[in-house]
Amino acid sequence: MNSSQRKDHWIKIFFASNAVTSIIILGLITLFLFKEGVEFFGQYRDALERYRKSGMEYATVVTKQHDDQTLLYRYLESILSQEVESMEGIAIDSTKKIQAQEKTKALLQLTREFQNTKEFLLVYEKKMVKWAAETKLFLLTKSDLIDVKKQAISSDLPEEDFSESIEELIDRQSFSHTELARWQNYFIRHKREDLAKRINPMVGTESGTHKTGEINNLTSIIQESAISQYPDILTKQDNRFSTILSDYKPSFILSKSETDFKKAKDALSEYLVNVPLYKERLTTWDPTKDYPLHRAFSGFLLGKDWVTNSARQDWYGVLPLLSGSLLVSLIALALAIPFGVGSAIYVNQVATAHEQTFIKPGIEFISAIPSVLIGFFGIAVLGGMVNLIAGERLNSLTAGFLLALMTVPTIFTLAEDALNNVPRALRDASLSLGATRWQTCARVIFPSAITGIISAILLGFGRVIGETMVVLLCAGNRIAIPNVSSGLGVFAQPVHTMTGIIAQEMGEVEFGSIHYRALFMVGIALFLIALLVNFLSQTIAGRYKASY
Amino acid sequence: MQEAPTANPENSSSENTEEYREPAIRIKELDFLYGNNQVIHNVTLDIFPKEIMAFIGPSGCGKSTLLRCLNRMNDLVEGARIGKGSIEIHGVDLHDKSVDVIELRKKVGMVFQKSNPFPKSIYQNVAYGLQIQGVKSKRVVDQKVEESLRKAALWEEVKDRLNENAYGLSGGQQQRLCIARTLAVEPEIILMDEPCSALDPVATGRVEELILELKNEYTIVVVTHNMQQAGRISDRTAFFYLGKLIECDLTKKIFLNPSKQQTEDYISGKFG
Repeated sequence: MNSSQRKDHWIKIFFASNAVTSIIILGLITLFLFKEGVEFFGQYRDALERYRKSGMEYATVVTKQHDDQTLLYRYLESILSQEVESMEGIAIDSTKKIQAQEKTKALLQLTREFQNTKEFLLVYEKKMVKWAAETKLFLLTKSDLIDVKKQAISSDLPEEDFSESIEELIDRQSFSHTELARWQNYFIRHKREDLAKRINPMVGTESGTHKTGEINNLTSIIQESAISQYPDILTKQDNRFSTILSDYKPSFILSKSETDFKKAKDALSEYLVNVPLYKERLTTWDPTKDYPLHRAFSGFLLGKDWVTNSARQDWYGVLPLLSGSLLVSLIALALAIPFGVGSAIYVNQVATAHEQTFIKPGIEFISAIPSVLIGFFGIAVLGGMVNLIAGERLNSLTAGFLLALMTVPTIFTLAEDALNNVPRALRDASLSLGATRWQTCARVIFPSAITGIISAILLGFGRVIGETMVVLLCAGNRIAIPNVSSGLGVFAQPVHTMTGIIAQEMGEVEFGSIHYRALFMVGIALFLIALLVNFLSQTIAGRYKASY
Repeated sequence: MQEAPTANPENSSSENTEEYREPAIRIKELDFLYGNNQVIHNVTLDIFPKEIMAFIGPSGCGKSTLLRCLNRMNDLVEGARIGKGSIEIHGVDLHDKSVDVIELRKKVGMVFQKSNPFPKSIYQNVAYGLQIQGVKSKRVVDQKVEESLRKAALWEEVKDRLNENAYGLSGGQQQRLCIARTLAVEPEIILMDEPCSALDPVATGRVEELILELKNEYTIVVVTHNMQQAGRISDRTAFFYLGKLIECDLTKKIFLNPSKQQTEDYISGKFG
């Protein structure tokens, strides 16, 4: 091999290694994403199973029922307050006043009675939540203990005062705090701080445990009370509700209150219809029922809640984030497509060479603006304008506007390329047949470039859905599925997005926790969307190239 | 050459020299420039109705530019302009303000070097010219499409697949489709810019046959690099060199007994 061949050889290796490295890195990113994310489902399933086994699921249904009752109570309360307000206008000591006072007194009585009745369930609910919380802590502690025990065995630590076998640990229904402290010390003695950290000797004391000095599995007690106490409370409540209502002679100062009261009564009867459903759910509750893995999948993909750091249960449903991302993207594309494609057509078909020299770089410069600055602009200027329309500064509309601004260059540049790629001969042919410039554009050039334009739009979509900073700053960051029933208002609701949530929460989560993995799953979902969009746009663009 | 009288282009335009014919296109002392680059120098030339005029000459001699002047396709080129002189079609100056360039192009059709059908169906390609004129009646369009395809000798080959994409046709068929597309607009004059340069000999033969048939109805101006082709199809031939019209005469005379040395050198292949 002579020297010039050797040089060629090394140059070839240099460029080949560059190409290979980037592909390997892409592969590693994908692998890493999936590796971190995929454990989420197992962990989430365990968490949801714990949610069921601990009785927290049960307690939550009770809470929901109580919430329904509270809603009814609010009706009465609001009627009462509007009645009391209306009394102020009536002269003191007049007979009218006295009558009015009697009326409100009766109403006040009713409201109080209702509240007292509601209280039966409230007391029960509080007890259930407390027990469930303790059980949940117990189950967590138990699974942690089993885990650290396994690690102790695998690293050959002497048994000493942590002599319980794994089977024994699994069978335990309670742990005392002294026991836990001893086991923690055991690990500290053996220089295993990492494991010692996972044992909390005071677990449960903050909220008060069922029995002092220990933490218990209360599932069986909860289940027992579900069968014995709960139905009693319901019967008692039902009776009270119907008696207090039948005792009450509705008579109001305001006619509005009368219609309101009718509504309240309707709501009550609706609630009473639902009672058997609650009863059915709660008395047949079974903490031992398995929680299948596919429920964790559907819980993520179709879950309507994204709740973290909750005292009861964290929910990781991607739907509110996905819908937020899609809503913002929809708004952005609806604005960016006409602007981007329109300016591409103008620059390509109409503009003089002089105009082209400043329009093209001008539009392309937008993409050079750091997105955090665009976010500033959104908060400071655009937010004010959106406030006039929507009554809120930061929402999907603000973010959509800004993302549109950021996508116009992408769509513009690619659409302009697509128009440019239409052979000149086609334009000439059309013009030579006596077509005007606009006819040529609309009937020949645009249709010939349409696949390229669609692929430009798809890439624009990919840009929008992956944008983070602007949505984090300007989308309003309320985690909720946009309310479609509000008509056009759906476009101006604060939303949170997939990218936004990752940026916002990733810095705070504990490494390896469910929350951490859930964020990775959101990242994977984002990755798959981007992959799909890219794939589609390349297929379409490929078809377009093949036609010439 | 023996039977052709020696004459200047004006009165040798037809085999029948007694009859005076109004030229279809009259180019008078035309200078044409791209920016400051003059590409046509003082060209004077008449083209008569229903003749085939061939423009020949080496690359860059201005023959294609002159052709594109005839339907003002050069309007699309930035900086392209007429220096002096004029082009008249039936006595009307093309660059007069009253001339509607859209109407002009309907009257003066064009076939390009490389076949350039639209990425549409065969039917849509031919119907395009009518549709942009706002012809709605399906019957009229159908009729015109068939007529044009028949004239372009393509009907028998494509009548069963009118709705297929035009890109499915062979190169020669595509070029004939482009001719049919031009015919559908009912032009008087057809400009052809090296119409066979991208075709194989068989396809070329078919297109040449077609051009000869079309002569009965249309005035045709053909730019060609292929001198045999000019010899086969044209009535008269104009030879251009460096933007100047060197010689224009009956084709037979140009090929057998050119009056200018340059023409002879070019035709005999001494340069080109």
